[in-house]
Amino acid sequence: MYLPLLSAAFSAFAIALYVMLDGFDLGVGVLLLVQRAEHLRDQMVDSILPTWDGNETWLIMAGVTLLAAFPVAYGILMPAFYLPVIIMLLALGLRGVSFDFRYQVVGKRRRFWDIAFGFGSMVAALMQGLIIGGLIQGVTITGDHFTGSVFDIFHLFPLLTALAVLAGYVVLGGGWLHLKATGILHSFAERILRDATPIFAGLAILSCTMAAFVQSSIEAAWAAHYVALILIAILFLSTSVTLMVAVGGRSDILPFALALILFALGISGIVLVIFPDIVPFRLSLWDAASSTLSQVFVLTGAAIVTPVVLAYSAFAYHVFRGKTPGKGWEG
Amino acid sequence: MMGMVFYGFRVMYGIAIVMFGLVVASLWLRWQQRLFTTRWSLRTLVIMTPSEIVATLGGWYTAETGRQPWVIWGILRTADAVSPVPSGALLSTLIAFVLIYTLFITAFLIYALRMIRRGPEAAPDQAEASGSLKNALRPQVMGNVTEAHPALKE
Repeated sequence: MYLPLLSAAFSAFAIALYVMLDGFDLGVGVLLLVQRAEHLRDQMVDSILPTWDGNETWLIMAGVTLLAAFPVAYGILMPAFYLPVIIMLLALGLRGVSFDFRYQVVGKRRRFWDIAFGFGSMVAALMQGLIIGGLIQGVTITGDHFTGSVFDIFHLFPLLTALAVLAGYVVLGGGWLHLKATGILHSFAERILRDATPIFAGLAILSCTMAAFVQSSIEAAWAAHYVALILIAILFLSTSVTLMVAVGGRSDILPFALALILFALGISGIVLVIFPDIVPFRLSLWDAASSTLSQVFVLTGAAIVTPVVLAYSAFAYHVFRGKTPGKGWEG
Repeated sequence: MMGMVFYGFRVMYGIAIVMFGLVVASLWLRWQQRLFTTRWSLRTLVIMTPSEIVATLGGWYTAETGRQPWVIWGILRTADAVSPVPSGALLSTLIAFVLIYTLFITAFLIYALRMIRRGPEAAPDQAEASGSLKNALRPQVMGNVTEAHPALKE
């Protein structure tokens, strides 16, 4: 009975890493939309160029683990979130090719690919937020099958969480640029962090409050974990305030680290509320788990691949540490 | 359906035989040190560029149509595996998929053809071991192909 728990823990680990790592490069992508100077957009793309694709591997890890270890949950969640998942993948595709196509052209045409880049990043962020909102709102199931509508997701609460995730990724992206950029771009990052952090904190609080109204099971979760959840809320607010103070301060990495902590707190809160369900408030992870052999297979794969990907990522971040050079990594 | 299996398989297999023939011919030419200068071979290789996609699709159609009405042979019927997503939603996302990938392939062809028209001389010289992922997969020979093979200068 501990195997599904391990698989779920690995899924949660992969999703958390995905959100925190791809979150900042999606955030930088979104910020391309509000940066008018081409050479600064070049620097922004350069800052995420070496690591963005490594960051996205965690999404695949989470998806594969869900499919192999919790096929019943996969069978319910994929149809339920079909539209946001497909739109997210198309948006990530658009963003992925923009990385290379933008270097083929200059001027207005590069601007075109930068808008595609920013638009793709924004749509991907919004769709991920929609999915989180849809999970908490709850999906309609009968037995082990999804029987709701694919449009159930486009309700007020998921739309609110979509905006919250978008704002959160912008904070992460701003924090990343605060760490990697110098000069004008660094000031740009400071301005973004000052504007986006209060918006993110506000939307996050609003989402948590509204969650209790759209999902009655939240109250039971509150009653069961109120000490931990209140602690998380207090830490979230104090971290947000510290982030605001740290912007433009002596440490370039501090705002980014604090933004990562904000996300870690948010994810812990969500895990605390939905555990031990894999389809929140509907199906426990044990009810959705595949056979022991499948679990062992998935976990063996995860045990081999995870250290390799972690080592590769750590190496990439180490090689490209410090400030992004003004003329790109080749200069 | 049977037509798809029949032609799909033959397209895949036929292209594979042509490919294998080219491999043998190329090995022979390389051994004779004429691989980089024999025009008919270079032209054939250019024409063969999209062949692997056609062969892959042939094999794919063979497998997908040949196993009907099963999605997993003998275990799960396609009709029982259909998702509850309504067909209208599937059609819209399929159209979106086609549109966005048409944009990708158009841009790719424009940039790739322009790069080919400019020729290898236009490619910037590679800095040694720059560590950049952008250039990691570009063949090192691009910058100085005419030095390595003077016959191409004509």
